[in-house]
Amino acid sequence: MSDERDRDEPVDAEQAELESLLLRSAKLDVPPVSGREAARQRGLEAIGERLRARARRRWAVTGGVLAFAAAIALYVSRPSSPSHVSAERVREAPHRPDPAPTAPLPVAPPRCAALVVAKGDAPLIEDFEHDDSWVLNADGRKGSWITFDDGTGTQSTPSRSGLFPSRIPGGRGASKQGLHVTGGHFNDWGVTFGTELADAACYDASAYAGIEFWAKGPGEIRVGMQMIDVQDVKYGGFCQADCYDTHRKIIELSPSFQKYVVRWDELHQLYVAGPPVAFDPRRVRFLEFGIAAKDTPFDVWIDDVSFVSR
Amino acid sequence: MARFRALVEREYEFVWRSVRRLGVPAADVDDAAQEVFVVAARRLADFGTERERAFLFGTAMRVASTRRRNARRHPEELDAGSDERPAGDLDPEELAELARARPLLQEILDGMTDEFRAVFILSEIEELSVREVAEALGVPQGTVSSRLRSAREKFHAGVKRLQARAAFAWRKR
Repeated sequence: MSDERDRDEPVDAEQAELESLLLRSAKLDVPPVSGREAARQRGLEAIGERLRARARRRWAVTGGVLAFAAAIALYVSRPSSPSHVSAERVREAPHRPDPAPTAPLPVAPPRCAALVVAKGDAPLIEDFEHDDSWVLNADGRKGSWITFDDGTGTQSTPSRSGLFPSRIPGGRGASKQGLHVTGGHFNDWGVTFGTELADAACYDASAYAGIEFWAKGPGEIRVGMQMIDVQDVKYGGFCQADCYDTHRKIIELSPSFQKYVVRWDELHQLYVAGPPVAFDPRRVRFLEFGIAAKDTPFDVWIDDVSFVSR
Repeated sequence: MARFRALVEREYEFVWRSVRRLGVPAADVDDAAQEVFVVAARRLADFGTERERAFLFGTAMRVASTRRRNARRHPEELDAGSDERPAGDLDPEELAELARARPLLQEILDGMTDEFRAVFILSEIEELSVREVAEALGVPQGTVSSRLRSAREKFHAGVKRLQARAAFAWRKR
């Protein structure tokens, strides 16, 4: 055994011999030659792609992949927003009243074909401490992190690929990992990453009061909740025209990790072409973070994404 | 890419042995070791060369834990797996003896909790120093020393059980 041992009890020669044999059996245990090459191949080529493909497949099944990308493309290809919300750091705010819809819907919205109703007892959406792209499976949530871009620049993770956690240099308190997105210059609509909240269904988040998360980076980030009402009907939504005006809030990031809290009544459509849709947390499909082209190149960390408990 | 290739070349045996000793079923070991390197390939930028073994072993522990859970849920999917290894420089008799010894060692390791097993594997099988084990597991050196002491006690006790069992089996003949 190793040099630092101090035996705690006497061992007779026969036992010592058997112990030595057992340890030697492990030390001289060598893998089949083929395994090393397979590990190399899988690491270099196949598995990373397979894991990303798994995330992509799920999104493709739900139609989310096209819907999400189209949402951003349509949004940013419009003229500049007439109701741009000024950048503001959101600090821990006192609890606010019930975030009922900010304006009445013009017509009774159609019902979601599938609905997952949150109980409100598990607000943490993702802590990024697991080495996969899935959100935590809690309170009915099911989704995976994925990123999109406008194709005019490059990201550390290619567009339409699953996003995986990265180790935070030096950690952030008890948190060791977060979501790290970096990339170069973009000159169209930029980059958006996010996750579905329920599996091909609306997610009723009304048991919660908003979204909170930790983040750092230069520039601004646009946190948004995409309702099924702004999702194109071709991809399972209810929007017939001028779609994908997701409810968002623009937040100015800080170079060090800060906690940001966005309550439901702070989310607004940044561009309203058709009839405005009041935000209704009972009908959300996606949680998303956007980086505008003007804020690229970018280097953004996100961590501990959670709903705000009531 | 070059760094990853070098990492596989240098550490594949370490990872393979680790997942094996961490209790991954024999039929799953190759795949589990490869899975560790898949994670490493994706996360290569997150750890420096000085932390490679720490990262690989930490990942191996998580992979092994998942594989063990799955094995308990789906025992029907497992087979005994082959224990045939390349002969190397050992003669057939010695190889056979080592092959017989491995399941006995595994039996003892399987009786340890993960925290003791990890320290024992790194210290006694991979022959890392206390400092290196502490870095690999992210715990203080004092913790490693105390876990190692307990793990050795369990190992000694396990070997004694094996001896007693062998003696009993001999008497039964």
